[in-house]
Amino acid sequence: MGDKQQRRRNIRTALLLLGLALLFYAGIFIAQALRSSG
Amino acid sequence: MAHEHAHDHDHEHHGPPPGLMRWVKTTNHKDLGTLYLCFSMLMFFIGGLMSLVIRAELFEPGLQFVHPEFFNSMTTMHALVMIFGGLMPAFTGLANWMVPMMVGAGDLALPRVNNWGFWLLPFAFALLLSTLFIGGGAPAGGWTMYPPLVLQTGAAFPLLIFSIHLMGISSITGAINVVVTILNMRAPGMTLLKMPLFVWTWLITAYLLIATMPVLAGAVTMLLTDKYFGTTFFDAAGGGDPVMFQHIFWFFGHPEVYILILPAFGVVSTIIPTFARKPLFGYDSMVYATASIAFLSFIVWAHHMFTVGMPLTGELFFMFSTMLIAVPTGVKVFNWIATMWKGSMTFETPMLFAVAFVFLFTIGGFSGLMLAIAPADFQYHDTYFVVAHFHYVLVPGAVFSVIAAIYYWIPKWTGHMYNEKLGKLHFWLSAIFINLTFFPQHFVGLAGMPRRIPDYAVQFTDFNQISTIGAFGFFFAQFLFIGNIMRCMARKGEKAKARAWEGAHGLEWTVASPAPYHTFEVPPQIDDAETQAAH
Amino acid sequence: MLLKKLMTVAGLMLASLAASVPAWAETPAAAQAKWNMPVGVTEISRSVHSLHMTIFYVCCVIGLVVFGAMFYSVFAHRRSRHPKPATFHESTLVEIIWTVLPFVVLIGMAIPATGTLVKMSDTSNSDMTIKITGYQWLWGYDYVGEGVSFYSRLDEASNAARQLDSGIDPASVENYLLNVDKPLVLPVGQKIRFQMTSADVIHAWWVPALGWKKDAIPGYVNEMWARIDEPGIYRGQCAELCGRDHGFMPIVVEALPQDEYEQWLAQQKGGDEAPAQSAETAAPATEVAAAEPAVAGDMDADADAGESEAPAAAAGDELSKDALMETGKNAYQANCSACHQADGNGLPPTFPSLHGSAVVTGPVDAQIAQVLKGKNAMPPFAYLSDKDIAAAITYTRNSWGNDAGVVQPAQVAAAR
Repeated sequence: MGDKQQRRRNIRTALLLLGLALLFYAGIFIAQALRSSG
Repeated sequence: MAHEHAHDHDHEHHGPPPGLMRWVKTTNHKDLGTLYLCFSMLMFFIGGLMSLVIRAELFEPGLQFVHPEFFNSMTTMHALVMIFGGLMPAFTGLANWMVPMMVGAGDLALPRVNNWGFWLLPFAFALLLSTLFIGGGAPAGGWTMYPPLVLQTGAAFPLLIFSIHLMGISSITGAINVVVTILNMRAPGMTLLKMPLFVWTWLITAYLLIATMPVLAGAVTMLLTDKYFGTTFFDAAGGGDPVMFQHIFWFFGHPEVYILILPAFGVVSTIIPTFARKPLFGYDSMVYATASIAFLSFIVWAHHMFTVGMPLTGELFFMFSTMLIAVPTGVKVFNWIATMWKGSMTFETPMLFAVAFVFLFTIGGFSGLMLAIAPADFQYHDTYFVVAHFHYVLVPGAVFSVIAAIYYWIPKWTGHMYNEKLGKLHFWLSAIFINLTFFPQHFVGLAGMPRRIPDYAVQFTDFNQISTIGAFGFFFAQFLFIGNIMRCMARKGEKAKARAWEGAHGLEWTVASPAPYHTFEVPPQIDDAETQAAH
Repeated sequence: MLLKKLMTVAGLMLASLAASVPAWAETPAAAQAKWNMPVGVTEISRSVHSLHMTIFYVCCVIGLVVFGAMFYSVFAHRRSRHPKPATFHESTLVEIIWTVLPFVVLIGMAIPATGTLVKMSDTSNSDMTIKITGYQWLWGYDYVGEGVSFYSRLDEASNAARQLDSGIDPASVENYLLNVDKPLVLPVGQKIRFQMTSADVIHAWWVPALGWKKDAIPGYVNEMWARIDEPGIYRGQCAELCGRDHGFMPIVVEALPQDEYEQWLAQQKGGDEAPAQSAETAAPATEVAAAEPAVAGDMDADADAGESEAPAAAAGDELSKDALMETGKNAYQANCSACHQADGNGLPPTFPSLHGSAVVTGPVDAQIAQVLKGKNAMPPFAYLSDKDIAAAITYTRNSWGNDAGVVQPAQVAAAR
């Protein structure tokens, strides 16, 4: 199933989405830090 | 295992390897779909047993069976098991089975991640359920885990947090897999606006999961550090804020309930057109409505917190945004009825559950609209009125859609039809008992009965008794369902055609029943008859 | 034992279905009370009830129309009656109509709801202030500026009946689970400002007849107001999960005509005087209300009501072991036995036994600290008096074969 190019594309998209998830995770702590310093 | 992927065109197709290790190592979306669904059935059973403990204790005033703290553990664990062990894996199982076939892909985008994402779950729930047997007992602070109360949890606390992290990772990786598959692996000609609505709803649900599960992870991580590492995120004495936890939790929590219902909307949007023999009314509107609901779901969270003491402006904003979300939801209900209208309907079991969904979910929607009225919510909040509301949208709502989907697609999965008489009996018993269980809870909540209490004032007795009878009846009726599907899985009963339902459209119905182990290894030609009709 | 219980329940299920039939023949008022929200006794509660009924009727009308169409279709468009399905599958006009129409209806609801919410948030110009503190698992009431304060707990009859396997029929207890030892007495016709906070976890104070509930949160002071229009007794409950006995910390408001209220208040001041709370309670700011030292003058069934023991004054008092054991037995029964049981055996694994336990036979300071601050499922007991805490600790250290010394009130005071 799927050739190498397909696989690379999939992994790229997946990593982008993982980055989105991590952004939301980090965002919680960043918001907290801003809130307490502000 | 994975290196076979590059060679599949050349090899003759093997079926799955024999033996138990097949299930441990499989990266096949059909196998994993089956695993997710079987796991969720087990979790529904366990969560159901917990609900029976709850309802048995609530049969009469006074305490007959359990101590109050164990009762609190039951309500807490019941919710965690049902939401994270029952519903979410069930919908993930449906996505695994159906999304690749519906878009003409050979499997999900990242098959090994898929396997890993599944196997996290039994491990996570073993951890969570083990807390029932340890000193101090299972968590008892509610599935919402508000501090400071949740920080009074004893030895179960780290197990709770860790298991939630694992469940979250499972959901996030599953969601990433679904998005990548839908965006990158649709067969040529399958444009986004030709995809079946079930695929659309899962695409949007997956984005919600990616955005919100990490927020839950952040929130519970802060609980962990508050308890063990001296932080005071939620401790007022240290300059922190217990209410902030609620904001963070519900920022996750509200989209979470839409995660629990959007795939259900997709299922119903698949089943009604099939049995009405008529295309889904307003496909484009349905897509936009789903997207609107998902967007709005991010800005309504504080309606779970109306009594917390927010400033007036905040309360007004969240009241308005919450009322607003009723509009696209209503649009969907109207579109389903318009699909039925002037169709030519037959009422096989999947259709019975789908129509019941439209009726009973909408009742849950009405109580939701009432709850949105903030000043009225000051009387409804934390009473059985809320319990009635969310059980209506989740049980005769989401759970009915899962049942409908299984009846609908099991001919495709196993190659055999379920027993229709037994299916109809299961439906009627379920529909009657579920209403007996939850409708009286509206009254008892309005009359003043708070939630999460093991004992109550005597005037609440009658309705509690009806509710308990309903709960036991509903629980036992489900064995009819289990028996029926196990029969199909044992390859008994009438053989199913490729297009098991005459009115069904979609790529999944172009392959044989049971579906071959590998389908669409070569992308299919998109015949508009399959998509226009689904459209 | 379990089988016997299950069979009893099965029998009861059948019996109660039959027995509940006469209940359906009750008075209209009693019936209304079972099915619907109370109208209540304040202007706010009446507004809220009216909003509730309005949105309910709106939903009924929408439901009738929508479900009417659906069930009509189920009947008229089944295959046997309607063999040829239509093919229409979209209509922009229709989509617009059924988007805009509900939107307009919602605006219609939002306007009165906004009005009521605005009214509810105006706590200015109140005639008096009550400070409410939530504890695990009781309420504390403070008549700000009057020097009257007390605790309010589930009454003894209910508390006895609600124990697992109590053998007492709840129906035989008057106002089962909705009765307290000391109700909150309030005047009719005055604008009362309520300030809510908590000493431990989040609770919520709710009296349906007043028309609202509000969370009691540690570190916050939440405000609400009410003007009670009719004298009477109004009952409510804690409405936020707060641990083991969340269902067992009710609220009773006794609303009296103005003159009777003044009389009651004067009586409270003259008799059972507790030192006034410090002035911090007047400000509505979200200050940190760290766990306050216990209001001196213990509130349980013990006979010490007359003494005013400010924490500092107890420094010199040394009590005999016998006195401590006697007071301690009562304090233990009232506050500790629910979890650790009257015989000290506890309920393992959830609640530890106190027979030879490490905490009870170990260092005194550690046990005092645990009683004051709590640990996991054991809530903080800092609201009890030094004397009660010292006595209860002494009792545990000298019962059931334990022989671990005596604790004086001064030691507890020093540990706060």
